[in-house]
Amino acid sequence: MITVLLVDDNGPIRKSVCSLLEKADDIQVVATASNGVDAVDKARSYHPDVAVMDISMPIMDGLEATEHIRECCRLTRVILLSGFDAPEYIQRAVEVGAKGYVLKDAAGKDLLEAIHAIQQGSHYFSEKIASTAEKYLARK
Amino acid sequence: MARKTKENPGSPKSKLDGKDSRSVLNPNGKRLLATYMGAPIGIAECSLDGMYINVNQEFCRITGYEKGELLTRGIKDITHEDDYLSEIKLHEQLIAGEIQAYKLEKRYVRKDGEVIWFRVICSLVRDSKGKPLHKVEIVQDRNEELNNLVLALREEISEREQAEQALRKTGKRLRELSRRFVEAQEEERRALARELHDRLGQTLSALNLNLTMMNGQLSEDSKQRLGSRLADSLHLIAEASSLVRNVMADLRPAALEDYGLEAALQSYINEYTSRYEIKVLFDHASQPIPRLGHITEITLLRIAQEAMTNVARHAQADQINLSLQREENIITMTIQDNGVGIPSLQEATHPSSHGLTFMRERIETVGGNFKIFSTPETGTRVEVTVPLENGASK
Repeated sequence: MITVLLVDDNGPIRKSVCSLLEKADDIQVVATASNGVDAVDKARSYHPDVAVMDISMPIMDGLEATEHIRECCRLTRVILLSGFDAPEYIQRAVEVGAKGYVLKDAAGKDLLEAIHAIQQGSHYFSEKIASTAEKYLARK
Repeated sequence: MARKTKENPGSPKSKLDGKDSRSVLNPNGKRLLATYMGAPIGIAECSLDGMYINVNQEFCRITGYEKGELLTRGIKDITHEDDYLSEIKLHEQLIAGEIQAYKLEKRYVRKDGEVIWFRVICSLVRDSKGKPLHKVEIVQDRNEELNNLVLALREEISEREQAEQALRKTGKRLRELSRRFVEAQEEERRALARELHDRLGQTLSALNLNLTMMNGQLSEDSKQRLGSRLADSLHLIAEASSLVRNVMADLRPAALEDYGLEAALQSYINEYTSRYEIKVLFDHASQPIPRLGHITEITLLRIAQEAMTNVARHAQADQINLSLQREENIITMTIQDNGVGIPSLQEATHPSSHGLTFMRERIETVGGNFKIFSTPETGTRVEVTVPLENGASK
């Protein structure tokens, strides 16, 4: 069973993503959070296999939270789930150690696949941003 | 001109010399003497070689010398050195009979060293045969007049300075108001973008997820009936999401806030080149550009957007060179196209022409300058400069 921490400040999104993830037999959402600080706390408490993280959030954004989680919970892998597709965000996501980046519009299609892929040790990026992400991964 | 330190024995004795003549003067002579001595204007008599032979009380007051002291002195002794030569020329012309009289504005050096301005009128007294006897010098104190003039000038300068100061204050206040207006406008745009992101964008994303899940759960039978409609709905949601993202990017360029001006310009160029068939070459700064403060950065970005939109609409260009450079404390951004130029630059730069006025006014709110050059041969170049310290402080 892959344990997941779901982080998004938007209630309907959390609910929809939760429903999507729970459809999978091998995924369990163990905790949810609505900002970066809450996310780091929950990651410390639950040590999930995967954190699915929004970027734009109050108090602490998802990129900074990812950096903290990578430091305190080394086994937790982070997938950023965002509407931003600008190269700067992809670059920053790679720099802070995110293993995947899924665009919100493609979440229905990509997210489950992304979680399974990074659980296997791979990276996963939505098709639209894949080439940009590969460029930054190669530089890392 | 001879100069003697003691009373000049060779000079003609003035008939109005009170010391010697009082006792022999008739009543008319006495009255004339009293008038001469008490006149509220300086009167002096000089020998032909420039020595004073008689002076009245006012002349003494003006020069600060006692009468006895003046009678041992000449014009040269109490005239400012810069004025002496010009006076001596006139004096010689007078004696030579070349001129009947002369007027002069000159400086005397008072006994206490103070330099004072006077208007002097001189004429020659001759005997019955026309032989020159001595020179009469009427001295009008100009200092009061000059002081009044100086006061009036000072007052005028002060009024002008006050007016200039008021103008500067008004200009500063206007710039401040414009800056606040821009800040308020940008804040409103940011708030609107946040609302779009938090409410509409997120709701569309949730809707997309839900429909995707429903799509996956449909039975074969239902898929046949509803599949295409569901796909259409997903397509519509994707379009709406894209629209919301574009509007958001325009209202609040996220890359600008998080990554600075160069990233935001690059992001805009990517969007621009995907929309128009115009190549954009971005010449990055050779010297690193620090963060300039939100208002300066958004101002430069908005100007680049406006200029590039103008190129797409009017220039018939197929290439833009966008340059962002720093030279010491000046940031310069230029947008050069290879299009047909602006037909009437005068018309385009008229205040009623909103695009160029917008750019000029926006850059002025952050203390910058705006220039535009355009010819049919070279296309149009928009150049804006901002002082770094100004930008960095805002």
